[in-house]
Amino acid sequence: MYARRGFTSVFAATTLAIMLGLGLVACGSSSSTGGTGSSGGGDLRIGIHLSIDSLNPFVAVQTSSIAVFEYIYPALVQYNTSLSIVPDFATSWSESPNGLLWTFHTRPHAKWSDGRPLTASDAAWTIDTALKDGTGGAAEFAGYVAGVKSATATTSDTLVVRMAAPQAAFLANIRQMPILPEHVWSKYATGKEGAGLRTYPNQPSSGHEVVSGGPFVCTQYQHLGVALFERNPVFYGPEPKIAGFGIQYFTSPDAELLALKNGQIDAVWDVPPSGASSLRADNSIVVHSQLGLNAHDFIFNDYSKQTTDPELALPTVHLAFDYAINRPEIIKDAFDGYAQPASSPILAPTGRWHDPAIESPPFNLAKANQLLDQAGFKNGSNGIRVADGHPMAYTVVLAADELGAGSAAFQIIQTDFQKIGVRLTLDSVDDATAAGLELAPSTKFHIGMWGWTPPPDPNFMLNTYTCSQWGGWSETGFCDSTYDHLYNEEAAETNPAKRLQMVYKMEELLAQKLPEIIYVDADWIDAWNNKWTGFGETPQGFFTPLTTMGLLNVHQL
Amino acid sequence: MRGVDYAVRRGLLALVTIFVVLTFNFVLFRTLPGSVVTDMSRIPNATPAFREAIAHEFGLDKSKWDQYVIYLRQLAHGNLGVSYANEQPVASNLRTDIANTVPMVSLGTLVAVVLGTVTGVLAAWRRRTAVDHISTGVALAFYSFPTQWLGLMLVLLFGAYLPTTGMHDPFLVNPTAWQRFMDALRHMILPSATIALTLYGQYTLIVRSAVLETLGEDYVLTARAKGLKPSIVLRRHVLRNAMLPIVTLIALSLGYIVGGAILVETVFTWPGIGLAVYQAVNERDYPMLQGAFLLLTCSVVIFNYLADLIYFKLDPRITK
Repeated sequence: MYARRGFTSVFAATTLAIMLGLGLVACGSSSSTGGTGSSGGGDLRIGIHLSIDSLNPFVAVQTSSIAVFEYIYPALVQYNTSLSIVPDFATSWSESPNGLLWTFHTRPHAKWSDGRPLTASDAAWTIDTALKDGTGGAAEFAGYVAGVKSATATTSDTLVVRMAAPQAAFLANIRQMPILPEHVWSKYATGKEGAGLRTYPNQPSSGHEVVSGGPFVCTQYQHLGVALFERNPVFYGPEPKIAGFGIQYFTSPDAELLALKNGQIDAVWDVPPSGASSLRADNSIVVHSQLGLNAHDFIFNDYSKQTTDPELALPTVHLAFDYAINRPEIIKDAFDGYAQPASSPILAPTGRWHDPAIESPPFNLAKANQLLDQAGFKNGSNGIRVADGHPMAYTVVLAADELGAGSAAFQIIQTDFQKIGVRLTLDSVDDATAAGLELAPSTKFHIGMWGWTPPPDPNFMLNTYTCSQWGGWSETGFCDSTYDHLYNEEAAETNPAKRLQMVYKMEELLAQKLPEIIYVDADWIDAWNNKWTGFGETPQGFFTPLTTMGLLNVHQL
Repeated sequence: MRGVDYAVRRGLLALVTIFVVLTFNFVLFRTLPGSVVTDMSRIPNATPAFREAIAHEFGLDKSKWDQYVIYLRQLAHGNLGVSYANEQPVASNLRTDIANTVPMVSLGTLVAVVLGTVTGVLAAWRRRTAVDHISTGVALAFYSFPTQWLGLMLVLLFGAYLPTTGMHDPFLVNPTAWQRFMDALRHMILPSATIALTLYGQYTLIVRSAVLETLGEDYVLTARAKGLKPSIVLRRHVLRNAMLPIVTLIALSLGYIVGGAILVETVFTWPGIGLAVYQAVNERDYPMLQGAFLLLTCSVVIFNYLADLIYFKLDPRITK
């Protein structure tokens, strides 16, 4: 009896000690600058769900990393929150009448954060490095300098860029390029085709910041963790109102939104639609949504050489499927109302580039059935249509990016397609698998569901449907000589009015052929604690590679 | 000599195991659909030339056999290769990741061992009573919970009181060493608790079973008949003989510490080796995967080997 009581006492005492210890630790003191400090300053704590994979611009591929470069490195130009191109490091620029010469006037007396001069030479060096090593260490920069022949700094604040051919999207492309400090990076432009450029980690170490020229300087970086930024005291542009900001990576959206509610972070970039509804119930949280550059698509395998399901390359089948997609229900149930119907890959937030004459067809199962009947695809005994001797039963590859709203949309589409005699089966895969199945040289898929967050200039999206993008961005394998001809003309047309007409013609052609159905354009949703204000929202949120204006005016109330 | 033979034989077996596993891993990762080339190509300015450059830089334009030979050659020189994702040496990445993982997983494992041992002994000592049933029932319940579900439940239940993400608060203002330590400990509580709760059940069951078996032995009956206190019977006669399977289990658990806890680190965004492996799978970062799995293999094999040696020391009968 004594032993039993003794043993139980020991157990109870141990348990009590552990709980007491944990209680002390849980109540332990800590302090944070987040949300504190004098009004107008302080550090903004931001939660994101895409990790910053690298601070080396020649290596990083994540949107979050590229957004960081927007804040720590100068760019020649940038977008404002209305998506017009405005000055950044370049204060003005001009294009020669033949489109072969661009002259930029850059900020005089600008400095890098280490005090060295920031001049047009740095911009010229970055462009020339991208040209010289564009198939090697600087391959990631090759797209920024498409069509460029050379770049020269004729004075310390004049940059001259010579083009091999006129490029309609030159400003939009060069806007994306971070200008790097030559005095830091030139020593790494070594090895075969500048392979050394990709080896430099470019991370802050103790007492040593990343040499920056943008509004902020990176002072701390932990892979798959946090990154901290402080105001750059020598920035050439308007001083940010916050003293700094920090980015914390969350793998779980639930933990991210909970951290916002509990005050562990101040703002969340890219809130999922399901999370927005729960945040709106909290009076201390501001939820901002606006129509995004955020397309969700239903992709057909249009590759002309695929032989297993040739009916999937027929525009009639595409149109029938388009009639069978219930956009209003998808928007209401899958996206919680945070989306708009879409019809063209050139989305409405691009402004004038979006052709308002192109509309998505109304949801009409009878029309869809009629089109499939006319195409000769009769119903089989099990209610599934037969095409070329095989049932119209397809696997839909859903990329991990689409989990949540996209998978809910699939369920709605699957139910409706059953009513037109088409069976869909879901294959939910990670993004790398989806890319491997859909992108060339593989065409091992029937139908895919994924999304685009395209830049505002239409050239990028239009390019993805060209024959030359087979092996690049083309998901569908679509290849049409008329379309390619139109694209080549548009890419070189520097007259805005003429270019606009060409863009409309391509949108019309895509609406006829429908290589993929853009079924919705989802809202971009951000949220922040109501103690903060001044976020510069864009159709891709406040923390975006498009502009620094997302954070420049943020301050505490 | 018998002991030396045993040690040598087990050592050779360990080396062969490591080689087989690293070859298997090399093949396994390359059977995953998709590749780093297609994954990295989905950036705003990628061109077909970029894809070719990536494939060439990472040696993915070579045959699988050539890639394997290059891999073995690098390993022979102690080179784990370069991560596709951040272009940094895998060894350097792993060093940072392991340094982050070991404290958190060790704490969770230690709590699991202590809790499992205490509840297992209690359940065996009070066998067939309510204490036994409740102890084993609760242990089994936690053992059967999916780890990620339990982690998310802890996030939802305790997220208002304890940090749920990361290793420390990056916004602490000029913290003292003590504040930094306490902050780190607070961040460790929930992930370590998840590990402890999902792990301790197996210790409870193994310890209970081992203690029960030993309690039925004649020498234990003799010890009791001699009038020895129950605590002395337990400590000197029961536990020492019940330890053998427990030692094996502890050694295996220690071996897995280095491997991290992929699900736990992913739920809590703990930047350790588990989260690194999760990211590496998504990014098809073969060198990181190969390096991490090689490390895990070596760790498990080495601790298994040590467990065998300890086992031999504790019970020389096993070599007969």
